[in-house]
Amino acid sequence: MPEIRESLQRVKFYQTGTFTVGNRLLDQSLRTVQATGERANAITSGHRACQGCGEALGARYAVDAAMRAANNKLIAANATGCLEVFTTPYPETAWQLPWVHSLFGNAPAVASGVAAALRAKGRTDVRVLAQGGDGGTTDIGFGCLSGMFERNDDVLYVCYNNQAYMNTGVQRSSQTPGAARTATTMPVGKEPGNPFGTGKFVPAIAMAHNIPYVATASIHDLHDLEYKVTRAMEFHGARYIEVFVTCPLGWGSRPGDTLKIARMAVETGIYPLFEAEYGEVTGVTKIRNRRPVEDYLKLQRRFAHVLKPGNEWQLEQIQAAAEKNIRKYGLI
Amino acid sequence: MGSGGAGAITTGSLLLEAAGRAGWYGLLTRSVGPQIRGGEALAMVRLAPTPVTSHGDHFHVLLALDWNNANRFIDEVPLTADSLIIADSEGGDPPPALLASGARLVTLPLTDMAEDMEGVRPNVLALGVLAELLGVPAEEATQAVIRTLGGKGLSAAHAADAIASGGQLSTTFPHSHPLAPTEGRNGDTHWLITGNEAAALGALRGGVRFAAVYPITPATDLPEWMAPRLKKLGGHLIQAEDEIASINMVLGASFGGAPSMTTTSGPGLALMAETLGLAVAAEVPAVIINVMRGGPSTGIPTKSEQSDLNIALYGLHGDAPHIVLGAQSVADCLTTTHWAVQLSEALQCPAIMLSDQFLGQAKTLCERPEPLVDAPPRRVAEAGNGRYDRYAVTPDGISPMSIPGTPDLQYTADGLEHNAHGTPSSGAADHSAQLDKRRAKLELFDYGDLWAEIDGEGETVIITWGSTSAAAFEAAAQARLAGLAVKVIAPRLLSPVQPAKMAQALNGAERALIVEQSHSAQFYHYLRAHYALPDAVEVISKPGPLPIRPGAILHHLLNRN
Repeated sequence: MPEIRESLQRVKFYQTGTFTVGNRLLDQSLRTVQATGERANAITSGHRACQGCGEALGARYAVDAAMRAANNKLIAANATGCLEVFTTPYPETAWQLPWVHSLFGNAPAVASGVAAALRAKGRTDVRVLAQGGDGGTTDIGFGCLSGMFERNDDVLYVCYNNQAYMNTGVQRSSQTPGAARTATTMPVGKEPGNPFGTGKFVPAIAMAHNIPYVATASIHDLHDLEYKVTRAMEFHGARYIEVFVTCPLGWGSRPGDTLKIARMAVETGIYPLFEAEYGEVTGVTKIRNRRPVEDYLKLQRRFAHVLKPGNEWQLEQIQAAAEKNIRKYGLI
Repeated sequence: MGSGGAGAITTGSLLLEAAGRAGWYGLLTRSVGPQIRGGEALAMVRLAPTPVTSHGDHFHVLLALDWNNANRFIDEVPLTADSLIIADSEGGDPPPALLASGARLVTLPLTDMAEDMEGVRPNVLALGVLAELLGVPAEEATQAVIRTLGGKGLSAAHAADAIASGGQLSTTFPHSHPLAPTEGRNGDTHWLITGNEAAALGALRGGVRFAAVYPITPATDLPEWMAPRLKKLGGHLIQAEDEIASINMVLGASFGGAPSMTTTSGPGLALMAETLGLAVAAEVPAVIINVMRGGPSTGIPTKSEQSDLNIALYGLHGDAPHIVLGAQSVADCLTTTHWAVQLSEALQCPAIMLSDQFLGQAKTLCERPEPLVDAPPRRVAEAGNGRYDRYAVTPDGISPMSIPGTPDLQYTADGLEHNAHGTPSSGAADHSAQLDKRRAKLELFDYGDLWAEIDGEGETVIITWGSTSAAAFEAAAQARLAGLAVKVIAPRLLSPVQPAKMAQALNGAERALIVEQSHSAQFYHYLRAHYALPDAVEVISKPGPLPIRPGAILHHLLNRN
């Protein structure tokens, strides 16, 4: 086992118990991109994301952090998906950087091509970002993604994982968790929900490619997300960051609960936050205030059936999966 | 129309449902932008005492819940000086372009009134206004509201109040455009169905028991509707990780003996093309429903176009004869998909069924389509007697296909060219023999009368296909009233081509007008390539998303130049 360190200096903000950023009371050196005047605003306001969209929030921080790390010389390739759709409604665009819409499954390959062109031209100053949702990344785009990893192309790929195909009407993806309801999940017992034992945890698969940097992040801790993007930009070669993003529309949650749900996913152990370099875990975010998985599930209608009498076995399975994560990544 | 979430589509659906219960026929198509939520939404409804399959040249009534983003689809709502615009007085100013039509504007305090009514939103009041205006019974409107919105905090009494209050509002301005009476018919035998639902039902009737799909607008609601129903019939639907996986699962399931299908739209069909070549070569049945949208690439995912004709006809590699069909109306999606399954199974060949967003997401009140006569199923090899020649050259080109696991009937289904036994062969004789076989089985088959819908007689002929057919039929009917004899030929079977049947249909024709919704006149070039057309040929070829309206065709017919 490699030595595992506490990855981050934790900063306690004035809003008790949160890691909310944008805090003017902090020392300059500890402030986030949000609170600085040099912020790139690469995804500018006025886009058409739903109220409470976790992906919009995550992408805004991830891209701005990458922009800052690249001295604003960044090219982005974007897979089809919610992010692509809500940032480019006719006749507008929210993007303030060179941005190419690939098709659904090939953002990694398009980004590889951009990186190759930059290398051929000797442009070491311009960096490449690729991004997509979980469907575009881990289903249809998985072959291209693995190829990009294997060749170690100089691309940072950010996957915004909201655990289903949301812009076509909430169909399941290979990231949809057990028991979650979508428009196309098969029934589990009398209740429609995704079968257990499925799912694809791509950060672990990315690590198996031995690429320089892999991390998971969550939108409830934007400081951590910014740190990880910044850290990723210190490496050259293929890098992968997966951001856990709440989807009020697809999950049946209140828009006001977006950050809370993301925090609960982490504090229950359902979504582990860690970073890894060259295939080895180098840092984990410890759970500060451990919660039972019910605290996460009860905020989302897609899991409503799990909390009904007779479905205790589903609850137990979800709790067991969370505890496995806690053991596996040493989260407490 | 209204902002996304204001309830424009719901209002249209409820009006359609209420009118249907009262005996009218109707069609609802919708127009939305490619947003996840919000944006703009437009429901276009046409009601009549006779079956409705297309929209007219303009709308008589426009109801605006608000005017936000109305400019985005203003050109989809043609009005005239005879039209009536009903707007919420809180909804802002109407776009000048709409008022330029000369349409009469009436503003009503829908939002104000709804605020005082428990559980009532302005669109329910608006439905009351429309029902009274058009002559749809308030009782039917109320029942439609209760069925749809009853579970959302609206009580039956409040629903009835809201519809009645809306009806009262509509007495505050002069009326126009009541619906022609339904002649006492009730709507009990009508179906209220979308094209995607009809296609799914057609597939089930055809015997499909396995489907593998990948989400893509505007096809996704088809498998969503189909999945639970397929399960009831003992079948199974899988959502795959991409289109390539879906079509290959279909291939595997069909090889295993189950009639199988997938659904997609243009970009997905492009990804499936390699496997369709394999299905042709290995002679494995498969049905692909392509709900076309504006292209190329992501294009206009939420709106309609007939521009996947070329890829469906010619998009395969090698010499790969296969079946291509085009559905002509919402109800016809059922018939054509049913037929697609029958043909694919009988001919052991992939069949592409072309629908489009207009048909797939349109909701119609129609008579129940007549079920197709059962067709002979896939020809299955029953028992082995020594050597099994899976790809034997037979008089009709069709060779019995064994189900894996049948004793003595093992064979290799191969994408490599093969001999009659299925053994790979790169020899010239085997290649020619198998190419001939695969072509012959399609050419020798008797497709009967379903190959095309043919209407009327005359030296002037409209040739069209797919969702533009309805506008062509309507234009031809109007032309006849104006004294011009017009015949319409709308092939349902696009591949293999039917030269003899088309020649017979075109017998005596002196002038052909070809009507299609594509920018590059794909259908025209297809007709030119395969059929002998009259000397005088004119083309109406317009890209989506605006539908080709009957008036445009009629104008062309009557104003020859």
